[in-house]
Amino acid sequence: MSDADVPPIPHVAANMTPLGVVLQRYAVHSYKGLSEYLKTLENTTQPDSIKKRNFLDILVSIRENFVRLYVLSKWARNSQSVEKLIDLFVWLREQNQSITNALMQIGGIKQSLVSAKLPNPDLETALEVLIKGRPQLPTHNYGPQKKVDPKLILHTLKTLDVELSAKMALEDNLPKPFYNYEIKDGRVKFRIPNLFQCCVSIANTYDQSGFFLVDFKLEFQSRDNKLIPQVTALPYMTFAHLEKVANIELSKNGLTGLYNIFHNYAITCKLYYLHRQLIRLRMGMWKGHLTHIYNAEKCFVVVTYWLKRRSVKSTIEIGKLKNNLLGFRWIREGRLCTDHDFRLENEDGSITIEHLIRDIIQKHIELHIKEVQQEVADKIEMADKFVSLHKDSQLLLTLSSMKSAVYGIDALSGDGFFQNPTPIMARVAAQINADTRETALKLLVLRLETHLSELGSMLMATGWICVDVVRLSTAEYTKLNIDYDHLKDRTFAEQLFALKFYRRKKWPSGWFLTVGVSGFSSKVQWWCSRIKSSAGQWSISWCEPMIIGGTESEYSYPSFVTLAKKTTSMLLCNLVVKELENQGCKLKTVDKVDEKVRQFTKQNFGLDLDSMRKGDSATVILDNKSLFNIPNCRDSLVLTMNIKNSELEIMIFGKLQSELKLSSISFNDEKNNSIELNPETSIFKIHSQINLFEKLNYESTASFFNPLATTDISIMSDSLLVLNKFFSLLSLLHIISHDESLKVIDISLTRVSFQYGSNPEEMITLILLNETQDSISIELPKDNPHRLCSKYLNDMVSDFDFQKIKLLVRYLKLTLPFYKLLVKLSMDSEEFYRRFLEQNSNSQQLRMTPESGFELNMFDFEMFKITYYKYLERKLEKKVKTERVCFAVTIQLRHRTDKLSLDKSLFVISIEPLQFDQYDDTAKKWLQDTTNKIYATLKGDEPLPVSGQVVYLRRAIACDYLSVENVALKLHQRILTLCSSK
Amino acid sequence: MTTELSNPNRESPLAAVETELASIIETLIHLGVQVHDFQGTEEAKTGLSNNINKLISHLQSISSKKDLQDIAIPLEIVNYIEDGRNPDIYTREFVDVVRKINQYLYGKSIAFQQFRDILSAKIKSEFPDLEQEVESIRSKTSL
Repeated sequence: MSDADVPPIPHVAANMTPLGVVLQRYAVHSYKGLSEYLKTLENTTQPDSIKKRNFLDILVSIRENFVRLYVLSKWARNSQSVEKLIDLFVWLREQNQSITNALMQIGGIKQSLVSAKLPNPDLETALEVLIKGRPQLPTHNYGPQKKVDPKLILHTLKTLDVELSAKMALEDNLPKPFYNYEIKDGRVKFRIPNLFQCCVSIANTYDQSGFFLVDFKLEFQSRDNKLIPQVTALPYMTFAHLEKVANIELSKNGLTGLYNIFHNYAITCKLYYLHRQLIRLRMGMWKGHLTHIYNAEKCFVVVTYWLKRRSVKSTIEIGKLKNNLLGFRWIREGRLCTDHDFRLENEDGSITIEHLIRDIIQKHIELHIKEVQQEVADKIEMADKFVSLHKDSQLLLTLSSMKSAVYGIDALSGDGFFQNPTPIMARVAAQINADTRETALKLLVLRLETHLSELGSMLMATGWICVDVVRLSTAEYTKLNIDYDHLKDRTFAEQLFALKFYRRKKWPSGWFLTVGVSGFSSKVQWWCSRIKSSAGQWSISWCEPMIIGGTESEYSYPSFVTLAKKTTSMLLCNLVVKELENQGCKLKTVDKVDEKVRQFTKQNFGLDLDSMRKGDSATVILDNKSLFNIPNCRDSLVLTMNIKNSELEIMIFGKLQSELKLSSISFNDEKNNSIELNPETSIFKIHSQINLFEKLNYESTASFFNPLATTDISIMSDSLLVLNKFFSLLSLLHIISHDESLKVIDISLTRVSFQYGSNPEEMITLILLNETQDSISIELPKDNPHRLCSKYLNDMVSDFDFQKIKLLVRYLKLTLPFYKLLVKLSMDSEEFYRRFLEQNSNSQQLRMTPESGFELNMFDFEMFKITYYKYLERKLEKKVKTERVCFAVTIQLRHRTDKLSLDKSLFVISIEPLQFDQYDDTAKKWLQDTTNKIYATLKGDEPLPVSGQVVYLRRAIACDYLSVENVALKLHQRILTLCSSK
Repeated sequence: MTTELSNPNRESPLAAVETELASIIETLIHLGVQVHDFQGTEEAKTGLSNNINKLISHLQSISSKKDLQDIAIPLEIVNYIEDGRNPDIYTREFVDVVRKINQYLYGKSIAFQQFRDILSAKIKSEFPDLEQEVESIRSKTSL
């Protein structure tokens, strides 16, 4: 080797720094140190000595380092030589390593040559040498190879085939799947369809070493995310490994072992492919919805689908089944599901995991949907009207007569959904997905809510206002008598039933239309109700169920409009009833459809309820005694209420027990109230109309916003007032009509006029003073004799009482002749004096007084006095003196008892005791004569030409009211005649 | 071989660096004295600032030396000097080590040659067929 060929020693640059860099860095470092220090010099707090010392320290350290650098620069002169030495050193070490390696190699060669040593002399080799001339030694491939003769190959193969046939025929423990084998090309070929095929052969015909593996191929392949049947060879490395294992197994356990190991291998491979397919699946649209676990050792794949569904997870477990074949178990929501006919492998042996998952999910959906349907059926009656299957995997929900929804399950996520969802559906779907256990219940809730919203919007559109604040306690619910017939399990009642409260704008507070909507039936229950709130608790004070429309579940906009009228009328009727009850009236609301009721009203009151059926009316039977206690009236009164538009028409019918001898009565008052009385049938009818609009509007604005305000609206007040008046009137009439001597002249609600005497002016008008009817006043015509005592009469009746009226009538009758007499006498007296004045004016001689006459003096309302006088001339010496002689007759009403009675009260006509002392003899004599003549009459010696009850009492005459006028007048005439005679 | 003995060229960049470093050291000594004796007089101040400026200009010049890049300093030498030891000792020891390993390898190679000769002679006598190959190997591996 020449020097030129010697390669240069490689240069080593690691751990070397150029001198320039060292110097530069230190120069920069020291400059920096200096400048930093110089900056600190500006600091005045430090004394100079310390500054100096610090400066010196720095200078010294810099200097020391520069001294080192100086040494370094001195050394650097040799640096290039040292560098070379370093390179040399490194190279030498490498050479050393090479030599060590070479030594190791030689050691290895030595070891490997051991086998090349000649074997020790032995008998076998010696025999070989003897027979063949030389021993058969391994050539180690150093000797040239001879080509095998094809004929030999063929022959060998044929022999091998025969040998194999025999061996196979003698094989005792051939596993069943291996029964189908083929012997060909010197090998036995086993084929397990869709799993694997393998070939075994034998190596030696002499020994019993058995089979060894020749070939192995899988019968499937993964392509396009599918396992398809396709013969596939293993990669070489894998095969080599498998061959080794298989041969060991063959030698140990024979073909059975081989089968087992290959079977497991093929299945594991399949599982692995499925695992790969699943991985690819999970990257696509199944992402997040599907997961799987692959366990190669335990040989299974567990696929979990519907990951996001909030329920017990559903899985598909793929693995070896008990029959050692690849199969799957479907665990549906924690329970093994076997009622399906899905197979892992298709007919052709291919496996598409995605198809399988989809099929199972579809089945799952169908089962789930059926379960939900069944759950619904378990909860409610007539569930088939609500749910029906739609395309096998969806539920068609009939939410209401107009609305339906389709509920389905999303195959990917397992979430429930509604087609074309409304916000309510979306909300319910979210609830279902949050907890899948009570799907059926939630579907029913959906129905409830749909109902509610539908009803709500319809009601709103027709002018109803929803009142959300009203909440009833469960105890109150019982009052409503809710129909739970369609609900099989009452525990859901609370969830599936909702009460809503609606009111009209014009309604007073406390009036509600209560709507009961249920999720378990399509029936909507309606109540007309009054609900009150006290101390935060709402309670039903009255409610009445009602039925809308023809069929129970149908409602429409028009029906809600009529509903308004209907409920208003019901509530009004209720109010009226309440009002009557508050007044202590006993009553009973009757069903006007009832035949008996109709018959009753028709017979008793001639009232045909049929004619009133058109409107919204109610019929109530009132107890007469408890209300006004009208005398002479049947116990029952019939009240009917009828609402037309905003007019409440109230009619009260009654029948008098005995006929009144009256012409028919019919009149109106200013408030649209009218009364009719038919004297022929004795049926009276009070008709009153109330404008509800005004009444309610006024009342509601006043009280609706004030919950404490009383909600009792007085609707009936007018009618009752009228009724009351009428009943007073009737009472009067009752009194009057029983007395034949009385004649009713005029009747109105406020006044009654009747004639009690024979002359037209002998009548009286009773006026009901005010509406409360606690007093009455009387009015008399101008010419009525009773005018004299009208004040007294008024006082008599001032505290209203029918007894007093009776008394009054009696009194009037009793005293009429008396007053007539008085009037007549006073008129006579006036006439007498008028005539006297006339005579006086005509005659020449003026007279001071008439010769005789009478004067009237009224003492009280039941007694007056007639004073008769006569001027007698008496000649006293020259003068003629005129002396007035008088005596008096009193007419007095005397009552035998305290009570006023026509029979027992008598008029007494008597002469007052005479005053003889003041008169002279002439006068005395005249008085004596005259009175004696009168006494003769009083004694009955010269009876008066009158009829009737007249009793002569010697000094007086007693007579009844009928004859008093006549008696008194006759007596008066007689006395006047006596007086005027000369 | 020591540092002092080999001082070939006073004009070389290394020599210039040496003088500069010596001058820096000298300046630093001056500075130290000045600082020590500093009284605050104008002259002292001027002298001090002059010297500082001088030092700084030296530092500047030494940090901008471009011709020293090819002189490589092993890290171990720096450590030696840092510790206050003589770098020449390092040099000497290193040379010694290289010498020793060189001798060792030389002995090894001679031993191998001898082994080769013996082995080749044996193979030739045992397998005369392989003589050609053996000779070929011998010729390729002889130095």
